Amino acid sequence: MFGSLKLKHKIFAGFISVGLVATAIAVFSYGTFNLVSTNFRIFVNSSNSAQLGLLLARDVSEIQRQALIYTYEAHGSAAEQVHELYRGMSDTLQKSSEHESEYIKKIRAHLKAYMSTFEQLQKQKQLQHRLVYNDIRTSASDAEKHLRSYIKLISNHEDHTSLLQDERILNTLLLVEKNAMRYFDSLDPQYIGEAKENLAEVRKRLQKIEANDTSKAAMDHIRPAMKEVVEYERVFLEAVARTRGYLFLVNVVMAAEAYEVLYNAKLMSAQISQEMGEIEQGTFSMLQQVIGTLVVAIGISLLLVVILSLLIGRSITNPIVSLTTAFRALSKGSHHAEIPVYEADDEIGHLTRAASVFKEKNRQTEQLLDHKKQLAKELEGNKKELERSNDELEQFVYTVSHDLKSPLVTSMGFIGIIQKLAAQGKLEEAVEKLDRVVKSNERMGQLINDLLDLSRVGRVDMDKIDIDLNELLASFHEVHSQQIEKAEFTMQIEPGLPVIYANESRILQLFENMLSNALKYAYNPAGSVLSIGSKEHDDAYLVWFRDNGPGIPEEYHEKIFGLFYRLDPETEGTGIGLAVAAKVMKFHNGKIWVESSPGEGATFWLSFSKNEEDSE
Amino acid sequence: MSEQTKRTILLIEDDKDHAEITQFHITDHAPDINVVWLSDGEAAINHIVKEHALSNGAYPWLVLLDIKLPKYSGHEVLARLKSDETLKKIPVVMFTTSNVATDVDKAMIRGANSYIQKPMELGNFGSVIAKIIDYWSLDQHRLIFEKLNKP
Repeated sequence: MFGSLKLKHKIFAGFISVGLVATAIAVFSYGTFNLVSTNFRIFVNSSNSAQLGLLLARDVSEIQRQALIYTYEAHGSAAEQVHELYRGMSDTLQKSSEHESEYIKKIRAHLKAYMSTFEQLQKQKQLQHRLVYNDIRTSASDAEKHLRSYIKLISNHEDHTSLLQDERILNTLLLVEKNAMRYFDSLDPQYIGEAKENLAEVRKRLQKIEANDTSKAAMDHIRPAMKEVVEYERVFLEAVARTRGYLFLVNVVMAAEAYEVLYNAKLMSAQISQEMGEIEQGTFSMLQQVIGTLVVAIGISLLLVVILSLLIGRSITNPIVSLTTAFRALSKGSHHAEIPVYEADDEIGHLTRAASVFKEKNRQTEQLLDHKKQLAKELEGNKKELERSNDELEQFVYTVSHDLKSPLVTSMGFIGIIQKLAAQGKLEEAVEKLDRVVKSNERMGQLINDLLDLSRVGRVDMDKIDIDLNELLASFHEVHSQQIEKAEFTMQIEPGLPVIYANESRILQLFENMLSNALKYAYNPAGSVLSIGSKEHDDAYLVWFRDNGPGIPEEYHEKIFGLFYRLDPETEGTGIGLAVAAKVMKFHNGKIWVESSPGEGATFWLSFSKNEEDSE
Repeated sequence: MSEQTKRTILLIEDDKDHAEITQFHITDHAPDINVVWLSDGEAAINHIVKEHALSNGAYPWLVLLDIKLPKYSGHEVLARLKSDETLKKIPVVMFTTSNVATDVDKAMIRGANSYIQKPMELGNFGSVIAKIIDYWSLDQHRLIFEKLNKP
């Protein structure tokens, strides 16, 4: 996953991923808390609105109280208070108009209605005030004035009884005023009835007087008094009606409006508190949810960071661990150490390449060591070969000296005997011995020739060519047919002989030695047969010479290839033939050996390497 | 020299001519000495052992031993003779064409009684044989031989 990234990039990637996760968590948290704070603002606003409801309720109670005070007391300050409160409430409503609800509109409408009713009430009150304190007083005092004038007139000439009755009317009239004032002060309807009764009584007495008295005085004063009383009653009734009107206004209309305001304020409060509850609930559940999400998000992020760190860490440590193992192996000189594949061009990449270089050096060192061992082995081989060669040379010198001296001893010995016999006069005997001397000398000549032959192998005429053994052996057979026949031998050559790369004259010398050995040692009275054949191996051609003679005991299988070694001293020969054969085979990088057991004949194997031509 | 202890020289020699020359000179110098000629080492050892068993203590007076022999070499025959408590009393004269130091050393170490090179000079062969016979005919050597062949 991180294999191709550079080390520092991996580390940067790690830090950046951690930073990104932290930023993501921070952004998410910020968003969440922003939402919470928005909700909180809404909540605070709602709370303010709820406050407004309470404020309105308080003000409505107050304004109603002031209105009532004004109604009963008619204090101007109370009216002022009402107006003041109204302005205050209007301001409050105005302020909260930014989120104007249905309720606020209604409250405002009702407040307006309340105020207009209050203004109407004020007018009614002023009117009633004027009627009560002006018109009623005027009518009452006019009627009283007329009655008093009448009473003054009649007191001059009337009896005391009628005077008394007249004064009673006056009193009743005063009673009317008293009851009217009581009513307007207490607003108790009972006083209205009493005032009406009083007025009815006044009017009845006046009509009685009018009917009884037809005097000018009566005409002049009772009639206007009557008129005033009627006026009085009308004004009084109007004042009552006015009073009742504004009482209706204040007790019914304004109370209803105030109630409406309160009701709407209450509804508004209820709605707000419901909204607040919803917001609170929403905020709370959202907060719960957000906290849950946040915990999960942080958990997942941390898990991701941990996994990422592990991956990055492992992608850094794994190659280092492998490299350490590789270096440990390399430091021990191994060149089989497994070097991890690492492609990024960073510090670990450099180490990996260094390890490869180490490995290559180790391999070269190993090769050099191998080469050195090989050289040492070759040197050892050469040394052995040299030693063997020296030994051979020593052996050669020894044998030559011995075997060449031998005929000399013989000739000198026989000559000495001949001299002695001659001195004794045994001439015939002496002459007989001469032949022995000749033979011995001939033998010495033969030895010298054979030794020259042996020394010639590998020294003279060394050219090699491809030789078809089928052809060579056929002509060989023909050339030696007489010799073979004379020795009572049969020679059989099997077909399919190989073509070998060799020196023809040496090979012929070898074959001649093989043939002469066979004729010399492998005679079989029952019919001697020498057969020649071949066999192919992976890397060599094997040519065999097989006889049916007496065979060779195993202990002589190696000795017979030694110089001057003769199995039977009685047979003629110098003991050089097989030594020459061995040397010829060695010259061709081949081998010669014998397989035989007494009575079973003998097989001589000649092995010619197939790669002889290539090794030249 | 008593009658019953006739001297025998055991000639161990593979070269027929050399054997003939040696035999001629022994007979020429001491006609009373019997010569037994054996042409290889194996035959020589067998002969000594067999002969002694058959004729009840007839040991040769002297052994003339060539070195270069078929089958067992002269050195091997010498070692065989000199490793036997009785046979080692028989004098063994190495008689060979070889004069190389290794052959001489080897023979002396294995207990050869003397080492004589076959003469190549004209007329020397007879005198060398005569000297060998005369030397081993001295009294001190004769006594050992007689003691050895006592029945």
